[in-house]
Amino acid sequence: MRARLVMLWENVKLAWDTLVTHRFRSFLTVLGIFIGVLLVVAVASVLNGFRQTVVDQVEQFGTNNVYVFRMPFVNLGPLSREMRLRKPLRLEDAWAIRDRCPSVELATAGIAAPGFLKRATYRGEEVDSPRLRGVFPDNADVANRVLASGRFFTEQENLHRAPVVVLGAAVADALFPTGGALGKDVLIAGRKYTVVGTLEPRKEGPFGRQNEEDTLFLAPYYTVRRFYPGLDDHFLVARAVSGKLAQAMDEIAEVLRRQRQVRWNEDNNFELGTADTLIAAFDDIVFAALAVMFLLSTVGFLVGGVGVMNIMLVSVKERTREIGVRKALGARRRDIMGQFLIEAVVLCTIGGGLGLLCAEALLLGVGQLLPDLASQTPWWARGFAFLGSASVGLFFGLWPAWKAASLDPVEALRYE
Amino acid sequence: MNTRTDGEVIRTRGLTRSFAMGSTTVHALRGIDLVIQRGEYVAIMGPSGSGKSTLMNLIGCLDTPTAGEYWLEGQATAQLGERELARIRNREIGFVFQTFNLLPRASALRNVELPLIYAQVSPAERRARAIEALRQVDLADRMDHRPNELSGGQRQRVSIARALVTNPALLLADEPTGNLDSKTSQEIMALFDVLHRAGHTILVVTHERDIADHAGRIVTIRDGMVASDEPHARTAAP
Repeated sequence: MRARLVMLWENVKLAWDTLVTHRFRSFLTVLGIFIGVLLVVAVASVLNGFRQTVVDQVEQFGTNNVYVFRMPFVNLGPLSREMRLRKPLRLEDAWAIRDRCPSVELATAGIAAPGFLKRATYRGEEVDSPRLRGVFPDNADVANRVLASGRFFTEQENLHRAPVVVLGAAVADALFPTGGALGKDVLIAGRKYTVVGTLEPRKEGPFGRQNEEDTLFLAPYYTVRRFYPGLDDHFLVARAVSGKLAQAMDEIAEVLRRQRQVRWNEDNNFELGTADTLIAAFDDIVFAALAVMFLLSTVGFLVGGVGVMNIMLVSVKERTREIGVRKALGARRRDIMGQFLIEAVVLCTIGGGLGLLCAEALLLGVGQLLPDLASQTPWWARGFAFLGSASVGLFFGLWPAWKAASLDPVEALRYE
Repeated sequence: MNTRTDGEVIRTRGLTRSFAMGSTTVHALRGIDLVIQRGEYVAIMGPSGSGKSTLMNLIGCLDTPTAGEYWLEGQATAQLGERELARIRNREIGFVFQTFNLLPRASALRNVELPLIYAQVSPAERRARAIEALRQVDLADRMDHRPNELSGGQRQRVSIARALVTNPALLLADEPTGNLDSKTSQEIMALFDVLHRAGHTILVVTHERDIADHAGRIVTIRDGMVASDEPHARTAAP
């Protein structure tokens, strides 16, 4: 074992010597691998940073929340017939969850005003396509909303269908660039609401985009129902007792199946989401993007690998005599094989390592210029840079190494 | 120096080697019978094309015979596989080549260490033995020099040190002075004389009479067969 390690180390030193002797040639050889690794690491870092901002956003809502949707959170491809025919979620469903699920400490519902609202205005300022939500006062609690000024609306205002509104940070800025929103009347799609509070900005979205929560107009549920009586599709949020998220989800599913009369042998006709499942759903997208990129980088690796094979064949040819001498001095086939394999692996690993270094330097530089582009190099990308390039060396070095090992010593010694 | 007991180092019987050259077969060796005792200093002579290089390759276990048998240190080698032949080349034979065949980018010391690497000797012991071998050829002070920083004679001495370092049963030299001027040639042959006196078994392949004159026995090969095999009064200084 020790002897093997010594031999390995000898071969690595030897490979390094050869590499340094042919610096430029070696670099050109591993250019494909260099670029492949650079791409993988850069894209993976950006995607990972993107994912991290999504995670931060979702977790800002609270990790104990369960969201109930009618449709899957992420759905690739057209909706199935079963999904399109799903019944809307009702307000009573929220109360049923609140009353009958012991592991749920808070359940609330909300409703989204139609998406075709023209605009919201205050004096000369306006916001196009305002996103108006009708919610209960405990929404502030469930969604961890932090007030910048004023207050959230009360249960009294809700019950009396008072035309009041709480503004997200972005729309507050847009309508009241100089501040002083409290007490002012804003027009949302032609109807007048009095501003009672404004919210603190949420964490920025991916690529420095506005967090959608910052663009919301939050009005009392019954107020919105009064203005838009036709709305019936609710979104439900429940907060589980700390540490009982799993039980809460089971209980909610059970209650909703009864509420929605799902037969015992049918699947749920609703979707439950937590911070974790939302992130998991998002991870599917990230994963798909990564898979495509891996495929592309594989092409780079293949091209690079063929280059490595070519240069290794040249190297074997150039050193035919050396191989003959080594064999005459007692090198076995496996010794020669190992020597050239390790040379190919070292060559590729250094190429991959350089690619990784360049990628990290590049991301650091870009991060300085564009602080919004949150990139974060994941550990597996670093692992991939090394293992991927090493295995390219191993694979494409195999044939040249085998050729070297199979040389006839007499022929090799005679080679000029 | 050589601590092995007396006896035969080499015995061949009917050693034959032929090469297929297209449709014809070239018979390089047509049955060589040769016995070399421990401590002998033998020169193999013959014109080019006589088969002496082929014989040397077979004796050096670089090649395997088409027919016939070959015992090295009492071990039959004709049936051995690649691994065992490599081991024999490593432990039992020390090669000295006409063109030195040193690794150009490695120091003299590294070159001499090379056979010990394949013998899986530990780095510390390797270094000590390589330095000792270089001392035997009077080059201990040049061990950090690369081959291109050494003269032809020094290079050949490094390659002799490399051949000696595993303490082999047989020193096998192929035209060891072919690339050297006559003065340096004499120095190298004097070194072989010293090694012979120290107990090494030496086999020199050459076509130069005055090189062969150093040996105590001259075997002449012609057309793949032993043409003459006789003891020889050595001309070297005693």
